[in-house]
Formats: sequence, structure tokens, C-alpha cells
Amino acid sequence: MNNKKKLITTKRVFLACLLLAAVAFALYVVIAQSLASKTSRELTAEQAQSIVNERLALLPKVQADAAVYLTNNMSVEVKSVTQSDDRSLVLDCDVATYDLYGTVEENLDKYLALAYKIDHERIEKKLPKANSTIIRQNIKDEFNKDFEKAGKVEKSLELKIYEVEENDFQLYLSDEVIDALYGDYKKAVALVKDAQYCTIDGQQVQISNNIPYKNGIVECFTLNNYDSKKPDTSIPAVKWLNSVKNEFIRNFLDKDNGRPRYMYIVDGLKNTILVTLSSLLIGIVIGFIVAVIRVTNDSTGALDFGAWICKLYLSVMRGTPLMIQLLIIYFVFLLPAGVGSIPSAIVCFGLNSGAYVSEIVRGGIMSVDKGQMEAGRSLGFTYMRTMYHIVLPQAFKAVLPSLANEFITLLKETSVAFYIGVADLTLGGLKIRSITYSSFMPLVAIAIVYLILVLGLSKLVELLERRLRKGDNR
Amino acid sequence: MITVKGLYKEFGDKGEIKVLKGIDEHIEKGEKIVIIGPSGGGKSTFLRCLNRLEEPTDGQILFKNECITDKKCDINKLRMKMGMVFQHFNLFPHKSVMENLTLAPIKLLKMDKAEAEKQAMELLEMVGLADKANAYPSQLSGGQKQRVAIARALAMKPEVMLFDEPTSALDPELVGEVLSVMKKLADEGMTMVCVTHEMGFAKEVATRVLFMCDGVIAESGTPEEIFTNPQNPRTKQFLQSIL
Repeated sequence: MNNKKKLITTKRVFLACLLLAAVAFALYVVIAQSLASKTSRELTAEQAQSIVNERLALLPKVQADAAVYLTNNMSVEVKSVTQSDDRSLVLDCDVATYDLYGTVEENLDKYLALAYKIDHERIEKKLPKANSTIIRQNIKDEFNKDFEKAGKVEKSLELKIYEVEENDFQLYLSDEVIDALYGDYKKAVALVKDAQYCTIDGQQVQISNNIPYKNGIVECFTLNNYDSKKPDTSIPAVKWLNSVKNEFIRNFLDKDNGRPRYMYIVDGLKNTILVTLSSLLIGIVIGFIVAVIRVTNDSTGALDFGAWICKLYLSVMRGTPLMIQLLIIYFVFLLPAGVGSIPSAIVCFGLNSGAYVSEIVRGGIMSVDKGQMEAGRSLGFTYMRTMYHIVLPQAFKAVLPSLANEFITLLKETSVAFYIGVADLTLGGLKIRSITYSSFMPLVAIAIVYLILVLGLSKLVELLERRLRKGDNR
Repeated sequence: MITVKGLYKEFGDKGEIKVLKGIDEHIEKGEKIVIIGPSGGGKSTFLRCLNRLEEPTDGQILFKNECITDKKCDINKLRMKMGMVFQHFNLFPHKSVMENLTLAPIKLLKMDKAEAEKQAMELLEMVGLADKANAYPSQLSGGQKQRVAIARALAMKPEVMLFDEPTSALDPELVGEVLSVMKKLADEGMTMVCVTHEMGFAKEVATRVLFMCDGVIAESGTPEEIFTNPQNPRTKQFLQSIL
């Protein structure tokens, strides 16, 4: 009883430590964020201009075009440029603040979105089904509205999306696409995505799926959530809270193809659970078989060959990294045989955990009193049937906590399954990360999901153990 | 019923520990044999050789004219006819008393469940534990456990019962209840071989007493002969030291 109390106290202290650590971490994030914003330097106009020029010179031609278009055609006056870190420039114009990211794609998106100002919701309300001429006019108007200080845009807006360097031709959006865009936005996205051909200067050009300009087109159309709000001038703490909120929305609630992004995690979770449960089942079956073979060999000397095979299996499985096993099983054996990545992962994790389970079970069998085997044998049961009816049930109970640990380990180990393309929990998080370019939220989110799973499982096993212990004490 | 010829048993990798050094014995049907002797004398080993829980190194054991030391014989079949009771009971802790008694009959004798349970209840009544049918071994006292263990062995309807120091692990006040069950069993005519230190029991129940010492049967005779007029000096010494 005293021990139990001690345990509870220890637990509480531990939980308090965890909580403290979490609070400390949150504080660290807050402080780091505010420090980061404080250290951003204010530049003079000349410096800013030179940085802009520098950056523009560094940009590939495709992006430079859009940038030049902005500064020349729109006559945007650059008030200041702030450099908050190596990769990020904040361009403060007359009308709005835009981030100029050093990374290529991000930059391109912003420019394109700004240049074409496709804010379909607003336009949709005014002109539900317009033709291309009206759209062009409308875009011009939108620009002029946003850039009043910059004066009227006189030049016609060419809906140029990419200038492809290698082949030296330009890609224009066809009128049909634009009509479709403003008539039904989603349809247009689908249309562009599925498009195989484009008309370029009167010639039909094939768009293959892996060339960047197709993605460029798609992204151009999906940038409906482009933010043209005034700069956020609230106090840093609120600013930070806002940014956290926006990050959260961007990482989990924004939709790709009509599905909110958190669904990547939900779908991944399903696969993770499927893989873990199935491979645990395989692992337990293999583990019990191997353990029984080894114990039988130890105590009766039978099954020499079987025991040798088991030892070989154990050395290989415990002597090589799990990821290498995964890659070998999938790419060397199962992929050529046409087996999918999920079944392969199940096979691999099952084989691997079987090795560890067998050692656990072997310990469990050896912990059962020898008298149990003798009693079973004296009644006339064969060795194997005594094992099955009498020794193994007791061994199973004895090793349940260790098995639970193995299950928990396995659950965490399945996170390498994404290497062979299993869309598990980890890959779900990585997918979000690759879409939003933010690491903190998606990665911490999957860590939390793993943690909840593990804690839940521990609790379940505790309950199961308590039930098994009822009516059974030696 | 059981004939032992030239039984040797050695332990250790090279057989350096010789426990049984040539035992010849014949046990008739209905006999109640009590084996006594100093510890380390080979009593338990001898008993355990009878149903091959220990593998004899050399020698022959015939059970109903069947050679059980022969590699070809199905020892599991023969063990069903030889009940065994252990010093430490060895009840199955994960099963209730009822399940302890019905497991083997259902699985090995192919009895149906109802029949096995009916028989189990009869046996529990005989050992005076009918009310404990649904208890688990951990809820029983030592004496109760041992009585259940006897009932469990009897559930297989054995022709011989082997007792390996059935009362040695019991508190003194619990010994009586187990011995009385054994006496009842003896009165019903069961063939019994019993290793024990309960001299009273030996005197009262045994038809023959074997004194084992240093791996051989040093002396054999009726209880009167052994207890009142031992011939072998080792027997004398042993009886003096315990009485």
C-alpha cells in the first residue's frame, strides 16, 4: 500500500515535470518569436532598393518577370525592405506588405497571385459568368483599385504564366480556361490539372505531369486565399497569437481538393494502426512459435534444426537495423512480386517484432514453475499440449506488460514505414509540411497523436492486466 | 502390476551423480507401498522414474506387462493410468478448481463437459471440497490444494497413484485432512506408492514399507517388521533419528 502511494506521488511529480517542460517550451517559442521579430533590421530606402535589385538579379528569369512587372507596370513604391532572416525579405509598399521569400516556388506564387489578382469570390459576385474580355478588364480594375496611388494601368494585362527558358516560348491561358475559372472555380482547377494540352501561340503543346509549368498553372489558380490585407499592426503578443492561429488554419483546416489538411493525419493514423495491429498479431504468432521451439530444444533436446533456424532468424532480425530490413523486404523481395507497400510493411514489422516477442515469451515460459509442466505431463498430456493448455496461458500473463511495451515500441517503429511509401501517420505530417512549408505544427501534431496512442494503450493494458490478475495468484 | 528391473539413474553430464544404483522391485495390484528413507536416498527419483518424469539411465520398468522404458511405448497413454500427486501440489493457478479437475478428462479422455463436471463434483465431495468448485487455487489453503490435486489425479481414473511427499509442504495442522483422504483412497483398494515422512500413516495404511538409502532399497517388509524389528543398521539408525 505504501509502495503504491509512493508510486502515485512519483507519478504526480513526473506529470508536473512534464507540464513544466511543456510550459517552458511554449515560453521559449514565444520569446524566440518576439526576439526574432525584434532583431529584424530597418533598412534605408537605398539599401532596400539595392537588396531588391540584388534579389531580383538572383531570381530566375521567370520570377524576375513578375517582379519587374510589378515594379514597372504597377509603379509600386517600395517604402522599406526588412530582412528578418536569411530566407525572408519583407517588402513594404505603399499599399501592402508582401513577403518575398528566397525560395523559388513561394516567391513565384506570390508574384503570380499579385499580378493576376485572382480573387474569384469577389469577382464571382460581380460577374458570375463573364467572358475573357470582361475578365481582363476586371483584373485591370482590381489592380487599379488596389494600387490607386500607383496610377492607372495602361498596358494590357497579358495573362502570361510562364516563360519557359529552354524552348523559348510563352504559355498563355486560353480564353476557355479563364471562362471556366470565373464561371466555376473548382471546375477550372480540375480542368487545368487534368489538361494534357495547351494552346501556345496557336500551337498545341503537351503538358506532361512532371514539368513545373503545369504545377505553376495549377498553383496560380489555387491561390484564391492570397492575403491582401493591410499589415498587422497589433502588439507582438497578439501578432504572435494571430500567426499561430493562421498557422493552425493553414496547416490543418485549409482544404486541398475539398479535404481539410488534417485528413492527411487521420488517414495516416488509420494506416499506422492497421500496420501496427497486423504486425503485432504476426509478431505474437511468430514469437510464440519461436519461443516454444527454443524452449523445447533447451529442455528436451528435440527440434535441433528448428532451433538452429530460430537462432539464425533472431540474429538477423535483431542484428540489422529495422529500416534496412524494411527496404530489403520491400524493394528486393516483395515489390518485384507485386506486393503493395502496406502488406510489405506488415510482413516486415511482423517478422521483426516476432524476434523480440519470442525472447520475451521465452522468458515468460521459463518463469512458469517447472511443476506445472510435470503436473500436465503426469496427467498424460504430451509436451506440446501441456505447453498449450497449461504453460503458455500462464507465460502469456507473465509477459503481458513486456508485450505491451513491445506493442508500444512497434507502434513508434512503424513511423519508418513512409520510406517505402506507406501513407502512415508520419507521412501524413510530412505531406502537410511539404504543402505548407511549416515544420512545427505538422510534426508536433503527429508526435502528439503518437503520444496519445501510446498513453491510451498503456492504460488499456493496465486494465487488462488487472482483469487477468483476478483469481490468479500463486 | 509394476515391475522394476535393474533401475539405474545418474545425473550430470558424465553421470557423475549416481542416484539410483540398481533397483529391483515388484508391486502387486492393490498394494499400498510406503517408501521411507533419509533425504538424498533416491526415494523421489525412484517414484518419478515410475512414470518416467525422470528418464532412467538403465533398467526396465514394466507396467501391466508393458515396458514403459521402451522408446516405442506411448508414455502419455500410460501416464493417464498413473496418477501423481506432488509435494508442491502444482495446481494450475490460472484455472478454477473445477477446470483443474475437468481439463484432462475432457481433453484426453474425450469426456463431454457435463459428464466431466459431474465426475469432478463427485471427486470433490469425496475429498470434502464440493463447496470450492469455483474457487481458484490461490484462494485455498495448502491442505485444500493438496486434496484438489489428489482429486485431479483421480479424475483420470488411474490404476495406480503415486504420491511424492504429499504432506511435506503443509502446515502440521493441515496434514491430517490430506492423510485421511489418502486413507479413504487406500480403503477403496487403490494401488498406491507413497513417498512420505509420515510414519503414522505408513504404519496404519501401508501393506509394505520400503526403506531406501544411498540409491538402493536397503530393506523391505511389512510395517511391523520395519518399525518394530528393523534388520539393516541404516534402517535402525534412521528410525531412531526420527522417532
